[in-house]
Amino acid sequence: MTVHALLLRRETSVAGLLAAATLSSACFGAAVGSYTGRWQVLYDALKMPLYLLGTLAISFAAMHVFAARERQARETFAAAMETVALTAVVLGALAPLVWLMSVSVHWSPGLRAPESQRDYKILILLLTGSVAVAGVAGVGRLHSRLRSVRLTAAWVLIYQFVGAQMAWLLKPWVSHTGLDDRFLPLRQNLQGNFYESVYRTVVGLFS
Amino acid sequence: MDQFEKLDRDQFDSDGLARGLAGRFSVVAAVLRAPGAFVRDLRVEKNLGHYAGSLILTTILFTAAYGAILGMFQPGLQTLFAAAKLPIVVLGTALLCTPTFYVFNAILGSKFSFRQTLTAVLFLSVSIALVLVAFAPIAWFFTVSTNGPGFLVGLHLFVFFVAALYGIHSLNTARKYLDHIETEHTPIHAAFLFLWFLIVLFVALQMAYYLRPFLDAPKDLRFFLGERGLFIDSLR
Repeated sequence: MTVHALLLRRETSVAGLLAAATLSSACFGAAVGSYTGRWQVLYDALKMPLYLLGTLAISFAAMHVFAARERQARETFAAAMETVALTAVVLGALAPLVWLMSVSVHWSPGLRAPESQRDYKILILLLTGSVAVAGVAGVGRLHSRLRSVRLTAAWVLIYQFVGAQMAWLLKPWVSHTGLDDRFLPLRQNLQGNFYESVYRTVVGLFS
Repeated sequence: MDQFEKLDRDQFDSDGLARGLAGRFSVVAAVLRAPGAFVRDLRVEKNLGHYAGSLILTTILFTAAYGAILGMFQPGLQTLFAAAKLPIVVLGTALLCTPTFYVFNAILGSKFSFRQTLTAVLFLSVSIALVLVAFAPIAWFFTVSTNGPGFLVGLHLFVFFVAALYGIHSLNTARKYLDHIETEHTPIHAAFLFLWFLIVLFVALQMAYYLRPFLDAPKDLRFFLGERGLFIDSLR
C-alpha cells in the first residue's frame, strides 16, 4: 500500500516509508548476496537497509542545515525519507533480475576460470547500473520535492560523500572468493577509507 | 475500419471465467477474439482475480504441452522434464519482470495497481503460450520425423521468435488501446515498454539457459544440472 502511494506521490507516513525502504532494500541485498550464497544472502539483506538508512541518519543533520532557512525538520526529513524509500523500491523491483543473474552466471573459487572473471564483471556492471538507475529515480523525486537544483545538488553530494564511505565500511558485498564467513571485517575495513583508497589508486596509475 | 472501433466492439463475459474448468479456458477466447473487452476489464479492475487465475492456468498448460514436444526428441524422462521446465521459463520470466514493469511505469506516470500490471504481464505470457501451442502439432510432426537436432533447433527457435513477436504485438496493441480509452494517465509508457521487452528477452534466454537441456538427454537423469553460465556461451 505504502509502495503504491509512494510511487503515485500520494500521502505517506514516515513509518510506512521506513518499512518499505527496509524491506525493498533487504530484497535487493539478498539478491546481491546470492552470488556468494549461504550466509552472504542474509548478511547483504541486513547490510543494504543499514547502508541506505544509516547514511541518511549520519548525513541528515548536514542536509537539513542547507534547507533550514525555509523548511522545518519534519518536512526535510519526510522529503529525505521519501527519496531513500523510492530509491530502495526501485532497487527492490530490480532485485528479481539481479537474483537470476547472481545465481546463474559462472562462478569458480577465486574466479580462476576466465568465464567466471567475465561474468563477475558483468554482474558488477549490472549492480552498478541498478544502483545508478535507482539513484536517478530518487534524485528526480528529491528535486520535485525540494524544487531547487542547488539544494538538491548539495543534498546528493552530502549523501554520496557519506554513502561511499558507508559502503566501504560494510564490505564485502559480492565476495568473489566465495567466503561468506565475515559479516563485517571491521578491523580490516577501518584501515584506510574509501577516499584514501581512491587517492592511492589514482596515484598508482601515474607512478 | 479503425483499429480502436474494432476493439470497442469486442464483447467478452468475464464473469464466466469463474464457471468451472471450461470457464477458465474461455480466457483464450478473450485473448484471441476480444482483446478490447479484456483491456476494458483490466482498466476498471473488473474480475482481475479470475483473469489472473485463468491466464496462469492456460499459460502453464500450453507451455507444458509445447515443452513436452521439445522433450519428445529424447523420449522418456526428458519429455516430462521439458514439459515441466518450459512453464517455469515462461511464467518465471513473467513474474520476475513484473516488479520492474510496475515500479518503472508508476514512476513514468501510470496509476496502474500491481494487480493490473501483473494481469497485463500475464496477458503477454498467455499470448506467447497460445502461439506455442498452435505450433505444437507442426513441431511434433517434425520431431517424430527428423533424425538430427540441427533442423529442429532452427524450427524451435523460429517458433519462439514468432511467439515472442506475437506477444509483443498483443501487449503493444493493448497499450495503444489503453492510451486511447484512458484520459487521466498513461497506463503503460511506450518507450519503456520496448526497453522492458529487451529485459524480458534477456531474462527468458538466461533462464532457459540455466534450466538446460531441453532437447538433449539430461545428464545422470537430473532435472536441474545446476551448471552456471551466461546464455551467450551457448553461441560458441
